[in-house]
Amino acid sequence: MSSELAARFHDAIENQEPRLRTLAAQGRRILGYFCTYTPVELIHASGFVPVRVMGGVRTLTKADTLAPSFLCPYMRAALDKALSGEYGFLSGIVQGYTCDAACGAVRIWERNIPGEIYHTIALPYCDSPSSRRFLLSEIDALTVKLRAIGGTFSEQSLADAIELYGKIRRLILKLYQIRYDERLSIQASDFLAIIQAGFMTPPEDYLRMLEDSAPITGPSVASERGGTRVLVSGSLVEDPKILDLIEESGGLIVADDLCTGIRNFEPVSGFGLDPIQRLIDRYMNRAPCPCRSRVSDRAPFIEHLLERSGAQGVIFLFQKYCTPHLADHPSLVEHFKAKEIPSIAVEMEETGVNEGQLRTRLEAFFEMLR
Amino acid sequence: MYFVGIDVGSLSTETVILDHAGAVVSYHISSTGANSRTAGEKSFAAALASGGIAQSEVNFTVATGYGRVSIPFADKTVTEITCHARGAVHLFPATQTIIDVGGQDSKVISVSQDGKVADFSMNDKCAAGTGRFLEVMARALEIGLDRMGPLSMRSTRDISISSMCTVFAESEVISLVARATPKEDILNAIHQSICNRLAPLMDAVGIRMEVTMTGGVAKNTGIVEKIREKVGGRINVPEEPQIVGALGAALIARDMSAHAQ
Ligand code: SF4
Ligand code: SF4
Repeated sequence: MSSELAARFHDAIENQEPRLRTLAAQGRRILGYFCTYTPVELIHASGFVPVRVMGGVRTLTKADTLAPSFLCPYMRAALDKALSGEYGFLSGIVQGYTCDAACGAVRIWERNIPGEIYHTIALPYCDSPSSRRFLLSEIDALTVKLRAIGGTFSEQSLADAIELYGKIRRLILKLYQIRYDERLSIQASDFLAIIQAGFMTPPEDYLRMLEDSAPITGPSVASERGGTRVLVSGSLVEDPKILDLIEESGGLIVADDLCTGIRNFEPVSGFGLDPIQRLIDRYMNRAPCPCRSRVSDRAPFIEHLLERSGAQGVIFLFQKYCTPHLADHPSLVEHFKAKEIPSIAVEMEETGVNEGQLRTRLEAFFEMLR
Repeated sequence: MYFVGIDVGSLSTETVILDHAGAVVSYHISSTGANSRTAGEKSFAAALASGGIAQSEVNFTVATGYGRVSIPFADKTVTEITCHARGAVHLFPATQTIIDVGGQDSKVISVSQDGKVADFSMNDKCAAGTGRFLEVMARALEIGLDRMGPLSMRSTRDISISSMCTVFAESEVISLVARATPKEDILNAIHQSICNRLAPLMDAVGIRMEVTMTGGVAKNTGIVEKIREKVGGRINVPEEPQIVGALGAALIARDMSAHAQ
């Protein structure tokens, strides 16, 4: 498998704006979301195309006065994009209530960018019968709101959406397995592109893209790529350059704990008697993120990924000021230190990273692991 | 047969040449200037000349420092973190922690029993509290870098510099001078502020005795004293702390050449 495979996914990212604009002009309605904890199946089942809002690397020109610098670069850059009209194809935002930054940002969008719906779904922290009942009421409330703007939710459409997303997740998880087995020959930045393309492509089309990429589903050969095996952990990684830097400095990314990664795909779906119960079950059992889980749940999850992939160390990639992830960091480091798992942390800003210094830190980290 | 280590830092470039037994036969320190490649070449040539060594007698060269990739004749590049650890442990075998304050970055490195890097932390945002900071302050106070340490020891009053940013700290120093604050007290405060900037790095890695200080800033006795107070124990300072990175690189060159054979 080469980066030829990734080319169409890169293309989907580069041309997202014109494509989605055309789609919107044809009458499809597109709803944005920030967090991977947003139940996209429900949005899709209501007849909308869910698209994950991204920020990208940019110098802010419009958002500075509205978004204080203590918001994460992701939220600031995304707002800047929206204020510059680059998200004109969106009919609104539906957001899972996760961190304060995202929740605050939804309100800033609502006040400044016209849209039909701005909605936040509160998500429970822990799994219990009462929290499941609570999530059910949140889902009902969203369905009603979506219906008010023309949503066409039905049990059948939800069942279909669950199946569609399930297929996508299964294919991507297969790709992960290939990566763990060291049979993946594309670099981490291409892997990221494959995943990111899914955020901005209608899921039916994305599924076709994945199915057409034979190497994902077909047999693959042992990879010749070398380097010290590492896992990257954090929230969003939007700038592929940071992943390239890691791999150019002597690392080989074999696993991730990112929300531009595994956090989207596990579990594939949930269990239950009807589609709504299955949806609830999946979102109650989501791969842990510090916004909704304790370190005691997340550390074993990461350790499991380390074992599965044979990664020797962890590279934390932080969005600057991302409070949930930064707050988890000291406990995670302590936990890993006790198990002699080395780690290093890198902070990312809107304008990217300080390359020279970062190369030195990364190279030294890999020299240490060797 | 000789082994060479070249450390191209942001402010200065050092070359160390070792003989087959690992003894230093020659070294050279110069300022880097705008072009790290030229700086590396000049430093290398000067060290060869002062040792009376021909380039053909050099067996293996390791380049380190921020300009390490711009040395075309190096056989290998290794980061300054690994090199400082190697050099410091060579000079003081009981070293467990290394504090290296260089031209524009500072690092705290912890080494394991076998002398390998076990953990490290490095300033990654700004260059306040490094050699460059000290240079700016020396200029603002109109005194030589080498006089800063001894003079600061005569301070009788604790004052503090609150700005983290080099530019703001400089104007703070200028206004202290304008208010006729004794230079020794200002220097004492500057050294304290550098030590404060190092504290989070020390905390992140943890200080284990013995501690060895490397990098040009270790020549400043005032700063060494502040760090000694902070860690609560003796600090090893090499005779020429500025060449420890290049020394480590040369030692690694010697190891690598042995491996290659
Ligand atoms: S880090 Fe967590 S809360 Fe933030 S967007 Fe990702 S999954 Fe959502
Ligand atoms: S979890 Fe972090 S990165 Fe994600 S939106 Fe919140 S602050 Fe930003």
